[in-house]
Amino acid sequence: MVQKITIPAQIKNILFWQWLITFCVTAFLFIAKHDLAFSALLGGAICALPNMYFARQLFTKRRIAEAGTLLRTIYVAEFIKLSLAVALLAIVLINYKDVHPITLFATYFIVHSCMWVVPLVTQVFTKPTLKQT
Amino acid sequence: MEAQALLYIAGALMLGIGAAGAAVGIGVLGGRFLEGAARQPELIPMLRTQFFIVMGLVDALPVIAIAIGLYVLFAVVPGFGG
Repeated sequence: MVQKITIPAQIKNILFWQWLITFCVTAFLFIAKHDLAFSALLGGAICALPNMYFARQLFTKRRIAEAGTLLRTIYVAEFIKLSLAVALLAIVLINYKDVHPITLFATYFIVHSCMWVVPLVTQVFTKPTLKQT
Repeated sequence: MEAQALLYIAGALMLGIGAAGAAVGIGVLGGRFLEGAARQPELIPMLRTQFFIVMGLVDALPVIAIAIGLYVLFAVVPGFGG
């Protein structure tokens, strides 16, 4: 069974916040200490780009609804995502000698933490309030 | 010389243990996904969204370990990687 599936709003929200935080951290560092800004931008992009690829592979195109085939597709996409992240990191670390590693990894970690912070915050703010009786 | 060798070992351990941790985590996650999908196939779209989020959580720390390992190998160890 072949389905046309679009990316769910929750995942779009996560991806949007990842890029937003990347640009916010970069802008803040550009103002505060601008030689660190490019490292922050690279760290955020290294996290967000593979996630975008993974989401695109997982939710768009034609996908087969059987669980086993779906899992195989997910594993292939995950392998490519990890390879992409490692390749981007290696390219940055080899070619960009002035990179500030703490900024790079800190931005990477902050942007990656969107994966669990954004669903948590969204869930808290959209939870219906229970009336006390 | 000895310190440099230790750096190589440290980088290799970070890469290897990070990869092993990611493998175990993703394997368990995939198994649970299959279980859930087999029990209730109508929940596959919801399971897939949750799978994406939890997959991000599982591979966060291994990728950071790999990144620090690569940093040790390429930037800290002199003469490695050009």
